[in-house]
Amino acid sequence: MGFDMIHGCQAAFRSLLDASSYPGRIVDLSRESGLLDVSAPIPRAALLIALSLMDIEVGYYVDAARRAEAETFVSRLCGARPVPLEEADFIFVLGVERDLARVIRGARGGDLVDPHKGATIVAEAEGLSEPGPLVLSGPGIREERRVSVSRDPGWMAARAEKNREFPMGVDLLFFDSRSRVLALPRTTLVAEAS
Amino acid sequence: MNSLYNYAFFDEGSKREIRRAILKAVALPGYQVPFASREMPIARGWGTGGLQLTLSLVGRSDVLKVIDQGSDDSVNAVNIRKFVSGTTGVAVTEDAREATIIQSRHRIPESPLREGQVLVLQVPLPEPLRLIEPSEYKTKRLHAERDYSGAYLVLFEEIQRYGRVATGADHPVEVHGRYVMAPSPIPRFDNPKLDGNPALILLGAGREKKIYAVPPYTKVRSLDFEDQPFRVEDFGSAACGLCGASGVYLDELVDPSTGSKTWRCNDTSECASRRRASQEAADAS
Repeated sequence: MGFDMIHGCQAAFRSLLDASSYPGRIVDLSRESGLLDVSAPIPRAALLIALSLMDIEVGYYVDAARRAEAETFVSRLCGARPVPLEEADFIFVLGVERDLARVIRGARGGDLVDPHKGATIVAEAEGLSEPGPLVLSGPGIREERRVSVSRDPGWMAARAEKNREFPMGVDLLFFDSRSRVLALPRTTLVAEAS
Repeated sequence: MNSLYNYAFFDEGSKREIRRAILKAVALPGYQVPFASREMPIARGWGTGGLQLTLSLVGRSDVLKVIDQGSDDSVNAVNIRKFVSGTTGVAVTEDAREATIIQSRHRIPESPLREGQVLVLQVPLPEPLRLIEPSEYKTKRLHAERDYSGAYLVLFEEIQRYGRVATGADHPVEVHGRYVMAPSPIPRFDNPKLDGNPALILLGAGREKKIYAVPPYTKVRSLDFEDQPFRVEDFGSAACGLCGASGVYLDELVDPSTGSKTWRCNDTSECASRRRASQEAADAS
């Protein structure tokens, strides 16, 4: 049986909501993403997130080696518009070698009146696991939570700088090749275990 | 299940827009995210904000509970429950422990919520500063500048007039040390339950087109003054006339013929389950 646009997107959204409500909880989207077309030029987890949350009302940006191909595919699939980085509601960073720190610095962070206009960045990681060397704290976390994000750690300083002045900032969703997702909303403080 | 309608009534585009707003609301505790509130088959002001959240959340594996002012059996609760289950086929319950989604008007259930549950609160007036500033343009800037002197002024004037804070419900709170938020017209009794709750709390105002959230384990403080600390309603030694519970939120009933007062649990399903439990205990002995 193929992917169900209604129930597949609902299940994916609830997992993303769960991940965002309890940052550090790594959610598994593989059941839904496994039903998607394998020939897509973007990873299945990213495709599932795009299908669940994006449509013609959304501007997005793709940072990837095969950018043009990915944009054509995403726009055709969900109707969203490719826009420059600083205008994007959703930003996809596909490939762990891409410079995520640069993307975070260039992304829209919202302003004091409309902080909800801060971008959502969907970024690929080689792997996500619990526990790990990153210590998370903030809303949604009772005391602290420890995770590992396998990726060049340059994003951490860029994210901390971007989210320095709450409520402005960007919200991160990391995914890996097994369609697992870790959410780091702007309220989550990330520190390295000493 | 009525299959003449879309699953959960909405078209998928409406759900996506609300879902995007919900995710931003969770990332910005207490901040009112604007959304394009849809026309609903119930009137605005009758829980359309909560209903739109519930319809955008609900899926096949959910179990839904709907409460109106503590009761599962009043008109607003019955209508919303029938509507959601009628367009989704989702399981319904009156037991707050069994539910995965609890939509509520003006109460937080007495039994503690747990991780993974979502409490959806219906909000008539999401803007805690509206009483002192009618312009939305200006209140958005007051929030931006974190200028909450107006919210304190309202409480101060109540103390001047009545000698104490006189908010009957909807006592404003500060969320995550940043935004002042209207918690919806819950009694002050329920305000402490917002603080550090393990469940996700989503608030929806359909008429005012706002969605906001209190994520789990988030610091929520009721506004007060050093010399006038926040207090919940005090029922003294009163206990429910049906189940005998005290320390819960009670409704006062007056018998019009005799003028005598009795008390009843406001949370009717909790009251019923307590009576069932004591009946079973009595039967067993």
